[in-house]
Amino acid sequence: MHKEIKEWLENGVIDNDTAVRIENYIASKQKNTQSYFLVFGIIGSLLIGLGLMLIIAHNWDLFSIITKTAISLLPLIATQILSAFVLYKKFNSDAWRESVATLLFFSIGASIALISQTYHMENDEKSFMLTWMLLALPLMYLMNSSMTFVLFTCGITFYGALKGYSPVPFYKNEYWFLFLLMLPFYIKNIKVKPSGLFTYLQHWLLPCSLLVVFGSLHAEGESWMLPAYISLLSFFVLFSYLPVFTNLHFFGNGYRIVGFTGTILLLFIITFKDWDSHNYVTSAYFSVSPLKTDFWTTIFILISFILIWSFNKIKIPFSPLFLVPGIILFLFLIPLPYYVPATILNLFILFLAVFYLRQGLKKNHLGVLNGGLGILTILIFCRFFDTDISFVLRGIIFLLVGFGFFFANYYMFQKRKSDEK
Amino acid sequence: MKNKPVHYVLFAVMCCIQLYIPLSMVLQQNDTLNNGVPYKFLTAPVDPNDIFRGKYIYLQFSGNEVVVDSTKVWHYDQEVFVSLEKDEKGFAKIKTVYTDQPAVQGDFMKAKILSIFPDQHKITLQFPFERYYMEEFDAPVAESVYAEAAIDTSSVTYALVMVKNGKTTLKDVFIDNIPVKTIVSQKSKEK
Repeated sequence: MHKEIKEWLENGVIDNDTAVRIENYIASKQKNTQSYFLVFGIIGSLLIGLGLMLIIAHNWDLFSIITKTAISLLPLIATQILSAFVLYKKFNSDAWRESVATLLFFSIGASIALISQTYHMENDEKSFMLTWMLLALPLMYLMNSSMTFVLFTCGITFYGALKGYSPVPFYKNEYWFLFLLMLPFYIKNIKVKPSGLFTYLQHWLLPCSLLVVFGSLHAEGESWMLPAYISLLSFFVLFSYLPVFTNLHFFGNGYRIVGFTGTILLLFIITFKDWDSHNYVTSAYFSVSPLKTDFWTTIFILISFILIWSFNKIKIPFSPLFLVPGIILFLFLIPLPYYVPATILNLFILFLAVFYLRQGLKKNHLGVLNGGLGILTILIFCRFFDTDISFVLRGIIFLLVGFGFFFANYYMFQKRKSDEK
Repeated sequence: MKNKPVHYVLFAVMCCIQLYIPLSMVLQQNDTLNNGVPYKFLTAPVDPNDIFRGKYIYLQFSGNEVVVDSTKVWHYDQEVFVSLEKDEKGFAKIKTVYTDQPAVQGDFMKAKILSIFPDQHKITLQFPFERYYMEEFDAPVAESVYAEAAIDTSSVTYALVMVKNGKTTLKDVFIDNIPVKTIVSQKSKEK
């Protein structure tokens, strides 16, 4: 096609602008086709990889130990050869690179699994996962494979939870080290493909992975996990306002959604009456020792938070969620009768609801408006479980909120209509 | 975009490591299987609902308790070294437990601490050979055979384990001196 365009141009059939337009059109078509190949290539590789593992899991007694060993290494060698070919010939094709890297990722796991079965090796999922992930780590970088990054994140999260939630000190959990090792790939992806689908996915995976393993920092004795979790979630929200994330699609900014939903959810959980009796506020949990990982993590996150916040060059808009760690710490450290923190937290959630309602109206944003109304509804709903309000009153409050939803949305639509005119 | 030569070299190194790890596992296991000292570990009666997980027999051992001077030096999940001897019937018996690799002569293996009983000055160990993998379709037959034998006090079930330089490889599981695979294949033929 390129040759023909050149010929038409030379013979005056088309002008320069038309030639450029045709070239662009072809390029966009090719990009679409490549995306299809990429998606189906990865799905195919995933299925083949999982199929391979399942067939191996049958544990064929028919074969001798030597044959089983040879079979276990065969998929690995085959995919390595295929990867070498892609590295040499097809490295520019995302579809080839991602598919083959995915296949190689599973081949590594399949090989170790089959050898473990053949020799009835120790029943340790932890060492199996760690070996697999360590062998797959260079694959992500050398094949420049985002799919391997995704699988690797899932793998180390599983490993980190397995290891972290068993009684070992946090520095013996290799998850944190593996997490650091994959960050350069993530940073490179943000720079090179800021609006790529995989980059979006990574913005979700990283906070989720951290949240899963974060609970393993729980130290013995009185727990600092509540302030630690709250600080981490607020940190995610703050992090999501950094310049690299500001131009993302709403659903592409995983940090903001995870941080926001998590904070709200935790706030709701701790407003329940039963919660304070066994876990939070009122008593001063202030025994600090060097091994108190949850305490030191809270401090570390809060210092990072303040540093980023006070960094002059970054203009971060105010979010009421940034107040949450401060409020929780205040309630956590100062002994107060139980109804004081309960009242403060309920009032704060009410403030959040009103804040987002107002912002939604101001910015003409239906999502934010309904988010505020949603918080208000859940707050009312939650308080119905632990307070003795008559059914009639509950009914009336729900009716009012329901009408509120209608009117607010109706008002917004009307406003938009008049704005369009 | 063409890759630089160093990229190919690194790729080759990665492939070699990816092959080296499973191969070294194979070689080490084969070495223990062929050159290790055989020990028979008596298995304990088990809960029949718990012995079969997927496609392997879950083995529990009777001689995994050790009396120690003090339980303070031990903690849960700690890796320990166990020196072995044989009792009068020829079954494996734990001689001593060490925190580090023992310098003394004789066979030893690695294990993990499963539980600690400070009042009784006792620890229980988890052996690194608790799974005996079998073919998927033999699983249900093996499950009932092993469960019956493990509960039946008159029958002796044991695992034959090869031990060399602290490494162990489970070779076979026997019920009254007959390999479990043989019993399973006989049962399958009877059906």
